[in-house]
Amino acid sequence: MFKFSAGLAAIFLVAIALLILASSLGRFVGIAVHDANELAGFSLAAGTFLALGPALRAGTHIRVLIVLSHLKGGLRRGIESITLAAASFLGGYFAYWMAVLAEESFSYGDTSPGVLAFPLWIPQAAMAFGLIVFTIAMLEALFDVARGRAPGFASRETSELTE
Amino acid sequence: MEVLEIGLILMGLMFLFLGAGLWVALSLFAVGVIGLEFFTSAQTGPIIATTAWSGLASWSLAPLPLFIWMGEILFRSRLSEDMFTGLAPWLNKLPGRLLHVNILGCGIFAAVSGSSAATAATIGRMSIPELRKQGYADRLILGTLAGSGTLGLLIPPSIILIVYGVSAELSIARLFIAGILPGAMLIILFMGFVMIWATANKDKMPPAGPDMGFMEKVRASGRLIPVIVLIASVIGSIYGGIATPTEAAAFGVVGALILSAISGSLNRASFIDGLMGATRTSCMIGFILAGAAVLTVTMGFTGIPRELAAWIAEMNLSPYALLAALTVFFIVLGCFLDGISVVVLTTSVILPMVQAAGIDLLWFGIYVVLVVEMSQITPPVGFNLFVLQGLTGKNLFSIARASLPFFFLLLLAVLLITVFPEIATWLPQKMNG
Amino acid sequence: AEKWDMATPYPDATFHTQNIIEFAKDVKEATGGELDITVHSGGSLFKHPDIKRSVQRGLVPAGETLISLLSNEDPVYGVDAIPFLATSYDEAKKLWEASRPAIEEKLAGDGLKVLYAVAWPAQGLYTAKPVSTVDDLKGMKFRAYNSATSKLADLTGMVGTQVEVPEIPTAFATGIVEAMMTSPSTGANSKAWDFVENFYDVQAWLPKNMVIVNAKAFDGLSPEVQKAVMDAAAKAETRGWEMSMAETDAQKKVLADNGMNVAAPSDELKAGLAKVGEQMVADWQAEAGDTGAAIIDAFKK
Ligand code: NA
Ligand code: NA
Repeated sequence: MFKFSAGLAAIFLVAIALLILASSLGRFVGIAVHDANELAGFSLAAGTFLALGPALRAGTHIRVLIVLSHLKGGLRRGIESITLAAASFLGGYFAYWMAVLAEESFSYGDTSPGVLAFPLWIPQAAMAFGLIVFTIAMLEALFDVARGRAPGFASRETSELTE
Repeated sequence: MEVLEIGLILMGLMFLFLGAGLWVALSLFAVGVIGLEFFTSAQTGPIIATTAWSGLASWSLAPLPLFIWMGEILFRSRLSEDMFTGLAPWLNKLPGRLLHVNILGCGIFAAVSGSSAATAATIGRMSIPELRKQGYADRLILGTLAGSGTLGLLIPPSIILIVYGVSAELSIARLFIAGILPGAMLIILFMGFVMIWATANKDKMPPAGPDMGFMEKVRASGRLIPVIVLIASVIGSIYGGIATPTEAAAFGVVGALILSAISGSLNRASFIDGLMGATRTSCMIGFILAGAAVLTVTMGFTGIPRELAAWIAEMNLSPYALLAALTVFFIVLGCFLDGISVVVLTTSVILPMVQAAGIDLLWFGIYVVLVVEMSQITPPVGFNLFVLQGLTGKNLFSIARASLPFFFLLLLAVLLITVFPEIATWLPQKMNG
Repeated sequence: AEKWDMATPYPDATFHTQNIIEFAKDVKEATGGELDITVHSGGSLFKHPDIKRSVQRGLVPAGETLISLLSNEDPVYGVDAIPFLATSYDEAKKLWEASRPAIEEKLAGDGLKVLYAVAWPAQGLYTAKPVSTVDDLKGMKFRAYNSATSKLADLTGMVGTQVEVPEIPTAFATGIVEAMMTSPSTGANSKAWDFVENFYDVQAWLPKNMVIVNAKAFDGLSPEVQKAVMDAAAKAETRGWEMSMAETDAQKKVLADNGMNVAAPSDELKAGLAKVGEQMVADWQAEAGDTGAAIIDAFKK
């Protein structure tokens, strides 16, 4: 699931580049490429959110560890658990409302204002899916910490603890 | 003053969440949600979803991930190493040596990119490993990058000047031209600081390389050709009428791929590695942007920035006192909000009072860019700090400490353009004549 | 007392926003502060494409949007931007009266109520090279930003290209765009003389912004406040059209004063464009069906 989500996100990044190149070169040779800018924006939104979960597991998302790094043992584990629980809740909350937005866009039949009239629910559903994956990744980390293990991303964000 | 209390509560929550190790994007998001839920009658859930959606689904952000990708590709090629080998002999005598590459590199890259984060990310991806390898002090590597990355906003093209130009109904072309001299001035200030620091801290600098004869230097510079070609083709695609500034980023990616293919460092694995790295980094920055958008809309509904600005307006200050008050206002808000959001949220109140005080709006645009540049490097919410934490894993506040001198240099720049407004207004005036 | 937030897309300096600020003041005064509307201009609350849905969802009680921005939702909104159908303030007003019932009905279905609409100054043709016939336009790179302008480009043999507003100056300077259609106000505000030479006052169409409110929020107001809002809206509509007319003359003068070639289109160009316009009206009517036919009939009466 994480691989799938990350792969899709990467495809959207490539899509942004291709869309922009197409509109630029299309103009150069006299072919109108419609709505490339809009579609690039949709790809950006979808790609960003699809990568959320994989990026969390890879330790790419940043946070401030200055306080946590000075704490030890049970206290650190306690705070870390509360934070992860809060993060999971926020992720779930965000995912829920994003899904509601996608559903409403679908039932209203909302489209982009341009020539292609691209349905908005598609990128929005991708965002909601990405948030669900993110929430699962967060729950996974919470589960690890609760059982006294280091979460998967910990090894990659420790460099600041050693300085 | 009720909004002030709300503002202070939200500020306190922000520190609490960040301190507890909640991810930056989620902290912004959580403060936004709490603000909407408890201090307004607005419907929190649908608003945050709409805001995150429209905040990210925007053509103006498209260059950001592309430039990050370009940086990833170049990082995996020999190009960045070549760049330093080619420049080293020329900078050997200059105090600070290769640290100037960060400043000049950002300055040149700023002519392609309109964003501060993209500038810091792309140049940083290439220069940090090289500079560390050569033994330069981390503090200066990070500080110069964080500081010079903000040049992306001042040297045209610039996202913030576009946002400002649209709200103030000024010619974007004129604003862009007005940014050129102040941009050059900042480069000189930054380089001057590095020279002074390097002279005062000789013990913290790596040893200088061997001196070379002129011809040898020229020969070493041959390794610069690929970089020069890449930069020239990206800038050329804009001025040659092939691409808009937004599109130039896509040409940068193609150029970087071609260069790394020629140098033999492009293969399936390195391509996928670079692409996935870019995907994750763009995601990290994009998620923070979404969180910042949520916090911004909360600020719009609670009306905190607007009321604070209105409160300054009521004081009826003289132009200089007004500028001083606004500077404090922008710096404080800029710590917690993305600088562009501050401009969007407050122009309605600020532009009329600036106009009433007889301040030239074109000049004020450059002033705004400088204070927004500061907001990029002040904690806890500063995008260049986030980018550098993402690149190095160092903690936010130590990067902010490294950037502090550059914050003061930006403040000095504000002072300089206030005393000598011609720095900003002379070039555009020449254009009129 | 009730506090309303209102989301508008354009910056404060735009006359539409000025008019809305005036409207909010009128409402506050007339209701003795019973209804206090805070105007969030420049898309600072919601971006332009999201404003209509946000009002519909009740995220904000009131907002402003360009009518033709909604044309993908229903062709009836597209009537507002058919080139060369209504080409003067009188005709634009007539078209608004003819289309208002259909638009109101469509909006009512979404739980929305329209308060008033105000036209932008007529869209003129900006070109880098002088143009005297439709043939001169062939092959030019034309800034197309929606379905109607894309179609216009196709029908006149121009190459439609997408360039966002802030990038227009560089795009003209570097030849990425050679022609565009926009109002004299937008041209003057963006200092068009810096990058383009000719302005032809072809008066292609007068797009309108409308101010909408959430019907539920509106019904929640007391009858007196409702009346005060509608009165202020009627006043704002009259004032807005006057502002728009004054703006047209003033801004055309600004363009000329700054050395642009401000000219009426040649007869050939006018005739050629009118023919394109007929085609587009016919196409739109085919798309909009009976409702469309009824609007055109009412307009032509
Ligand atoms: Na720039
Ligand atoms: Na900041």
